[in-house]
Amino acid sequence: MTAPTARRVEPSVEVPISVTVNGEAVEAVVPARQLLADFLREELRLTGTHVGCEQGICGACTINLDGEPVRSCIMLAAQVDGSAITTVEGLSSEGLSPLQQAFKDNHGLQCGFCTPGFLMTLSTVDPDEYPGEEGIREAISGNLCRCTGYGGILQAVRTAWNRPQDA
Amino acid sequence: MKPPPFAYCRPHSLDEALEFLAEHGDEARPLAGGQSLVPMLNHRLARPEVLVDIGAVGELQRMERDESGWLIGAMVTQRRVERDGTEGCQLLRLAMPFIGHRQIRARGTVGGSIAHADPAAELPAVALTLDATMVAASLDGEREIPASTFFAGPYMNSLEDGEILSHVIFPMAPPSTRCSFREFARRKGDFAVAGVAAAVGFDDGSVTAARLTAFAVGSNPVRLAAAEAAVAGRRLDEAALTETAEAAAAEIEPWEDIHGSPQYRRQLVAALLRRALQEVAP
Ligand SMILES: Cc1cc2nc3c(=O)[nH]c(=O)nc-3n(C[C@H](O)[C@H](O)[C@H](O)COP(=O)(O)OP(=O)(O)OC[C@H]3O[C@@H](n4cnc5c(N)ncnc54)[C@H](O)[C@@H]3O)c2cc1C
Ligand code: FES
Ligand code: FES
Repeated sequence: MTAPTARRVEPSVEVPISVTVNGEAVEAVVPARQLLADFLREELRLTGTHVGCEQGICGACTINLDGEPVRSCIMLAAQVDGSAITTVEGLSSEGLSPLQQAFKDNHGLQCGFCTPGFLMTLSTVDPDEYPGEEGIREAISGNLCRCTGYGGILQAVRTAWNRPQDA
Repeated sequence: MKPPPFAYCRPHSLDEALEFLAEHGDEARPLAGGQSLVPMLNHRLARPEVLVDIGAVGELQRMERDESGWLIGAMVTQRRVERDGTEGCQLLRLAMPFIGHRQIRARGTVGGSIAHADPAAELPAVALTLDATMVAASLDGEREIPASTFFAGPYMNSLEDGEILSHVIFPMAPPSTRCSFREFARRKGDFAVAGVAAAVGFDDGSVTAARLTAFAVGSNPVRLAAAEAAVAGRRLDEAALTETAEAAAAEIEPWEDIHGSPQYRRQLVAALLRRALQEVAP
């Protein structure tokens, strides 16, 4: 983490970063002001990460950063130097992951705009930390959906997490 | 909804971070978890020339316990406190789940929330209730600031230019202390419309010392001195609950905003405090 020998680097409007994205090493020089969501979408063309509100509220831009779900719209690309990121594109190398399949089977999406955010939150957290039906609601409380009314999403999570279906 | 231009640096030691802040004066700003600052940049409510990212400063990541209390480095994330807990300092952990959402707590820091001094934030209320000490670092050394004087108005703290909040010391409560944290918000994860924190010591069923705080009712969290006096020495029977809640409602001077009128907030504080005291009653 802290490299005691690290040389002092003056403030700059261009920042070199190295980051692992979906298992691949990426080296880039990013504008200091560039949001991580924009770096993923516009530089890496990983447009599965959606941008809804750009103020941390809707959750559409959620990614896995070093094992934690985070909002990529309120982080700078410059801040992820040395980190590992998974986006929705990295959830499965072939076909759909079980979580994605559960969303498909249970009508967990309509327009699909919010879906990458839900998938990234749910695939990153530990289900054991969110027991019961109340736990599922807590786990998805940081993601908003304007279409489904959440019923299909709850059903998809119950399926993916092997929880009772009739809750 | 994009940040204005700025220069960015990511120092690896506290001294280096302090040097950058000193060199760039009030044009520079520390960047912690960014969960308040980056939205402010996106909205162009903040336009710093230089952002000093303190995320790689090892000295600010400490989380240590000794017999006197918990030392929490400014860059310790809210998620880390939620996950690892703070044994012997129950109130701190109780407050965590109320801060935004899991995704916010994953990045948001203890120091960032306290420095930001949002009137409706949970951590400043916890700091005030527990008489925490904020330790500010500058090139001249360290300075201790008690929670009672740290918060200086809505979104204002009493740090000087060139100072970084280095860590916060949350004193260990006596073992008989029981704590409760309660707030009301329209939706899970929203900022509170009003909230209370309580740390109450007991001896043989009677209150020895009560530390009671209300937040989201004014510029900064406030200690409920009249309510603390009303409950001191008493058993938490029906009369004590009612009189303490009434004292709290009477002593606060809540503000009015789109989320609630002063009268509504008085009633909320009374109801929340009553429930908090019921919860801690032995
Ligand atoms: C959707 C959403 C919901 C939220 N809900 C809540 C909530 O319910 N309750 C709540 O309390 N908060 C909430 N927050 C805010 C969150 O808790 C922030 O993490 C916190 O307020 C700021 O911490 P940070 O580490 O992100 O700081 P930053 O955003 O990086 O910094 C905030 C301010 O503090 C200054 N600063 C940061 N660290 C230091 C330091 N060590 N020394 C000196 N100055 C410093 C910065 O310069 C900046 O001015 C929410 C945020 C979002 C986006
Ligand atoms: S776009 Fe990031 S939270 Fe809405
Ligand atoms: S499916 Fe349309 S917003 Fe959720």
